[in-house]
Amino acid sequence: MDHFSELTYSMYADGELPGPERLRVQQHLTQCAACRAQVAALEAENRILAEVFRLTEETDAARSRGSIGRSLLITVGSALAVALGLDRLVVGIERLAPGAMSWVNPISLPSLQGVLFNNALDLVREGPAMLNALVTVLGLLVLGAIAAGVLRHFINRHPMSMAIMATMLLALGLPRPAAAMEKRTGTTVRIGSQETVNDSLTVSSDHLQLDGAVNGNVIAFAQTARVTGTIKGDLIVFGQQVEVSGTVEGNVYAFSQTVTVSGHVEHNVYVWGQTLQFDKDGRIDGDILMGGDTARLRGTLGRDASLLCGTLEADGDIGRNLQAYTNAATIAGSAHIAGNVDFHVKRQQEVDIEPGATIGGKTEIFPDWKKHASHYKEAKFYYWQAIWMAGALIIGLLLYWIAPAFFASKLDSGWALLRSGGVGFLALVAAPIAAIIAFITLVGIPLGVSLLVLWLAGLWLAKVFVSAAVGRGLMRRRPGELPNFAVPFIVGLLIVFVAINLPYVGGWLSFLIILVGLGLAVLGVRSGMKGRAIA
Amino acid sequence: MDEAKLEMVLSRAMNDDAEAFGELYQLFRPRVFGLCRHLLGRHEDAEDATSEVFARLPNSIKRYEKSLPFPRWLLSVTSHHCVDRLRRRQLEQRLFEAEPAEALQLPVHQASPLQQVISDEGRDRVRKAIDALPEQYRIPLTLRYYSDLSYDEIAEQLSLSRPNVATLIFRAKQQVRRALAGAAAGA
Repeated sequence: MDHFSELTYSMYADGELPGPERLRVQQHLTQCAACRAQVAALEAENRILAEVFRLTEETDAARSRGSIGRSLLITVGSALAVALGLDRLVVGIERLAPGAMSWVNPISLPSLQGVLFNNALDLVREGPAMLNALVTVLGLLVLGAIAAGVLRHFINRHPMSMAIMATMLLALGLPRPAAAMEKRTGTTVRIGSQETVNDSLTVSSDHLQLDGAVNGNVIAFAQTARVTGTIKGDLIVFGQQVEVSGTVEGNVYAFSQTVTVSGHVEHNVYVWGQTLQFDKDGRIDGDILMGGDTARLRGTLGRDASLLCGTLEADGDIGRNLQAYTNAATIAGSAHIAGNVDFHVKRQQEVDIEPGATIGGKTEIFPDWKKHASHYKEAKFYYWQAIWMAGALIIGLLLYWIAPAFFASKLDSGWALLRSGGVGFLALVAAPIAAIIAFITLVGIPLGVSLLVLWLAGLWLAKVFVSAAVGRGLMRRRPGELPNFAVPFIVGLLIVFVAINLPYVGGWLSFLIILVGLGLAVLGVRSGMKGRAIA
Repeated sequence: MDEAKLEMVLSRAMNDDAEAFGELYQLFRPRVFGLCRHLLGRHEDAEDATSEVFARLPNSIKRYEKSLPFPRWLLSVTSHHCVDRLRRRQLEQRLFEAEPAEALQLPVHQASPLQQVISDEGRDRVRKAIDALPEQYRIPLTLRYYSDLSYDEIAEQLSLSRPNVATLIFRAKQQVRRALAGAAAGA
C-alpha cells in the first residue's frame, strides 16, 4: 500500500481534501499506523498554530495598550531631555560671553523655578490671572514634546540614529560641561581646606563639612551640611541643616529644615523648608525664593525677595523688590529696600514697618489675601449665570443641529481626556501664532482674521463641547435607545456651570475645560473630515 | 459579548449610530489589529490599516450579510484591505507567483512535526518563526489559522488557485518547523 504525500496529509488535516481523495486517505489510515501518527501530529500542529495566532492577538492588544503609557513616558522624557539640552547649550554660550544669553534661556532651571514659584504665589490669590506665566511654561514643554515627537518619528524610521541622538542628548544633558561626577559616602564627609575637587561632587552622608573647593556642582544628601569653602557651581542640598558661610558661585537649592546663609552666594537662593536665616554678614547677589515658615533677612540681597512664609523679618539690604505672602511681617528700622514692597497678609496690623526703614519704591499692603469677596451672595451673579447657561444651551443645540461633528469625540477614558487636553492646548497656542504669521504675510490677513474669530469662538464654545461630552458620558445610552442630545447636554451644562464657579479652583477648572473643549472640537472635526475623505 | 447584544449593536451601527461604531471598535479592534499585524508585518502599518478598516466600516457595513457571523465577515474585510495594501506596496509580483503546483510530491515523514519542537521552544518562538516567514507564506498561513478561512476563500482573496494555496500553506508550515528545528539545533 502506497503512502500519500505529506502535502496530502496536510490538506487532510486541514479538512480540505475533496471527497473521493479524502475517502482514500481515510482508508489508508485505518491500515497504516505510521501515517495515522503523522496525521495526528499534523492536526496537533494546526491546533498549536491557531493557538499561537490567538495568543498573538492578546499580547498585541496588551502591548498596544502599554505603548500609550510608554510613548507618553518617552515624550515627556524626551521633552525634558530636549529642554535640558537647550539649557546646557545656553550655559555653554554663556561661558563664552557671560551674561549675554541670560534673557534667551527661558528653560533654565532658575527661571523655570522662578515662574513656577511665582505661579504658586499667584495661585493663592487669583488663579486665572496667572495663565500667562503658566502658558509660558507649558508652551515650552509642548515645544519640547513636539520636538521629541518629530525626533521619535525620525528614530522610528532610522533606528540607528537613536544611539547618536541618545549620546548627544546625554552629552548635552550632563551637568556643566567638562565636569564629571565624583561621589563620596560615609558618616562624615569632609573636604579639607587644602583639598580641591575638580569635578562635580555628590555626597550622601550624615554630615558634610566642605572647607575646601569644589569646581563643579555639589549635590548633597546630608543631615547637616556646612560650606565654609568655595563651590564654583550650584549647591543642591536635601538635608536638615544647611549652613553656607563660604562662597557658592552658582545657585543654592535647599530642601531643608533650616538654611543659614552667612557667606556669599553669587546667584539665587531657593529654599523649601522651615527657616531661612540670612545673616548680617551674608551676601546674595541674585534673588531669594522661599516657601516655608520663617524668613529672617538680615544680609545684603542683590535683587528680589519673593516669599511665601508664616513670619518675615527684614532687617538688611534688598536691592530690588520685596514680595511676600505671609501671616506677619516686620521691617526693621535699619532695613533698606530699593524697590517696592508688596505684602499680602491677613490683617493690615500684622505688618510692622518700623520708623527709619528706607523703602525706595511703593509700599503696598493687601490685607485679606486669603479671603475672597463672595459674589455668591449677589443675585446679579445668578442672573448672569442663568443667561450664560441659556445662551450656551441654545447655541449648543443649534451647533449640534448644524455640525454634529463638533460633538463626535467622547471623553470616555482618562486617556481621551488627556488627549483632548493636549490637542486643545496645541490649538490654544498654535491658532494665534498661525494668525500672527498670516498677518505678517499681509496677503493672509483675511485668513488670520477668520482664524482669530474661530479661535475666540472656540474659547467660548469649549464649555459647550465639554458639557455635551460630560453629559453624554454620564448618561450613557443603553443599546437600542433613541439617541438624545438635549437632556445629557443640559446635565453637562449644569455640571460645568458648577465646576467653573467653584471657589479657588473654578478659574483653573475653567482653563482646563477650555483646553479639553478645544481639543474635543478639533478631534471631532478631524475625525469627521477623515471619515468623509475615506468615504 | 453575547450574540443578542452584538446583534443590537450591529443594527444600531447599520442605522448610522456613531456610538455603535465606537462599541464595535472596542470589541473587535484587537482581533482586527492582530490580523493586520500578521499580514502586514510592521506595527505602524497594522495600526494604519486597523484604523482604515474601522473608518470605512460605516460604509462597508452596508454590504454585511447576516448569513455570515460578523467577526468572520469583519476579518475577511480586513484581510481584503490588507491584501490590497500589500498589492499597492507593489509586492504583488513577488507575492504569490512562481509556486508551481507540480513540484509538490515530497517524501513522506520528512520534517518533524511542529508539535515536538513546540514543547521545547515555547509559543513565542513559533510566533517569531511565523513573523519571519516571507510574505507569500505568512499571508496564506495567517488567513488560514487566524481568520479561519477555507482554502477556497483564501484562493479567492489572493487570486490564486486552490492547489497553490495548499502548497503555500504546506510550505509555510514546513518553513516554520525548519526554523524552529534550526533554532533548537543552534541553541
